[in-house]
Amino acid sequence: MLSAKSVSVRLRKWNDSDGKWHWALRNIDLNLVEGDRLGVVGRNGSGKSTLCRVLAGILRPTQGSVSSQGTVVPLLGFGAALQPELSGVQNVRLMARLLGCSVGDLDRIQDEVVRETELGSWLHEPVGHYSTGMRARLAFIVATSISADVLLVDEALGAGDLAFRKRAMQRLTMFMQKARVLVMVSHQLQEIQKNCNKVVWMEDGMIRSLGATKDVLQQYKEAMHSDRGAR
Amino acid sequence: MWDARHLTYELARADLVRHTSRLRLGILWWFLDPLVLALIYWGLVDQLLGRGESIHPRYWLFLFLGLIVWKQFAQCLSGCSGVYNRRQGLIKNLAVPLVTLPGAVVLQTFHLFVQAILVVIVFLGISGGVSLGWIQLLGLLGIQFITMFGIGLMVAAPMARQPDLRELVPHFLKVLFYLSPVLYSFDFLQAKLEGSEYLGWLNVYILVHPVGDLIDAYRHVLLDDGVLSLNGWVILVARSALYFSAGCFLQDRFQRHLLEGIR
Repeated sequence: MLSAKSVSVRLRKWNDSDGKWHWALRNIDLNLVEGDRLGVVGRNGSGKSTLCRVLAGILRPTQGSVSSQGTVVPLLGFGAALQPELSGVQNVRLMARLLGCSVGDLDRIQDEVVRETELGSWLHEPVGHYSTGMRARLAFIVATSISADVLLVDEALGAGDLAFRKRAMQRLTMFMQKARVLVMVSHQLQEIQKNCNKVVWMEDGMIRSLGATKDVLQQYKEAMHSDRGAR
Repeated sequence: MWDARHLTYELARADLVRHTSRLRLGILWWFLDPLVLALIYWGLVDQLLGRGESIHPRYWLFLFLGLIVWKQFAQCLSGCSGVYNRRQGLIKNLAVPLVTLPGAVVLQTFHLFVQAILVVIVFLGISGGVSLGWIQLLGLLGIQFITMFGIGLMVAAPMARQPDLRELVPHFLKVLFYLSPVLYSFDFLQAKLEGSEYLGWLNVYILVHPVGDLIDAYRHVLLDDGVLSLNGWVILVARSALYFSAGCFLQDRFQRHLLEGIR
């Protein structure tokens, strides 16, 4: 359903035409089939988020290829799609289309957003007038209203106040369960352990280990402990 | 491009709504803006100064037509040259087909241009009746859209990583404005240069100018009730195809390079 063959990605800083190139990913091979729940772990800068973006089709590999079947929904920085001058309702329409939703699904998503966000008449106000929590809530509900065959989640979501965050986690869990393939990037190893049946450990843009959740997390924890001990 | 047409429409629509949401009169400004511009030219150029009759008997309308085509071209060029920078947030977080972003700029400016042309058509229809020759406008609109889309693609990706080049765009547009047939027509210039050694150079310049012939074609159809020659159509179509192909080539050529830095 989702595979990466010999994927390498070369990057440099935006607006820095003389900046140095670096390989963010090197020779990544992954093959995910229906039912796979892949957790991605690694230190900061190890290439976890880049891997997620390549698998989502946001970033094109410099070498190699990525192929997928079905709707791929990335739950990354989806709040970036919100336009402050547009109303909540107008933003729902735009964001849903940006996430690949069809025209026929727009009404269903709109109804779900009205029901789940509990924003009421705020939905007809410009999003620029919303609080940060309200914005996050709106973006989160829209993104999780799209039927995803392949779902990519980068880090846990801090959507709104504490009460909503609890509901958001429940909703996210349900959303992840519905997806046929899940890729989850997180530093929270308990989250990975709870939701994933496979783990890939990234280091310096390469796969250091790939296998069953228990085994890879054990290796990863040991390496982290020995690193701390060495320091 | 075809697959991404709905998203392009949605992005253009959002931009238009975003713009009008700040205005008390909302979408009425789509018509009011060209109407106010037309009134200014009529009052200032025709009634007060009585200028331009040597160029065209209805010079204020002649000027207005030139300006609205020019305005779309200028908005398209400046809007597309920085579009990937303005939309970095979207590009970094969502799998948006890149071509939709300059596409939305072109569609949005084209929409405003169509409103302005409608104002001219209504005015001409009321003042002098409808002409069958106006059917040619459909062809001209299609050619204009394809040309602008090509120009938008030509500048969008190559200029995304060139902030210094983007700074030059307004200056380039200022110079090109005076070298374009907005205040005069190419026919007027050709007549002035008749027999001169520079006439050949002028003809080459006319041939490559992105909107010069289009401006004159709109004027010919709307103000002179003229019918464009087959030769004229061939040149317009060939030029739009050329700009569009060049745009697609440059977009394809620079897209990968752009993504390596932007995402």
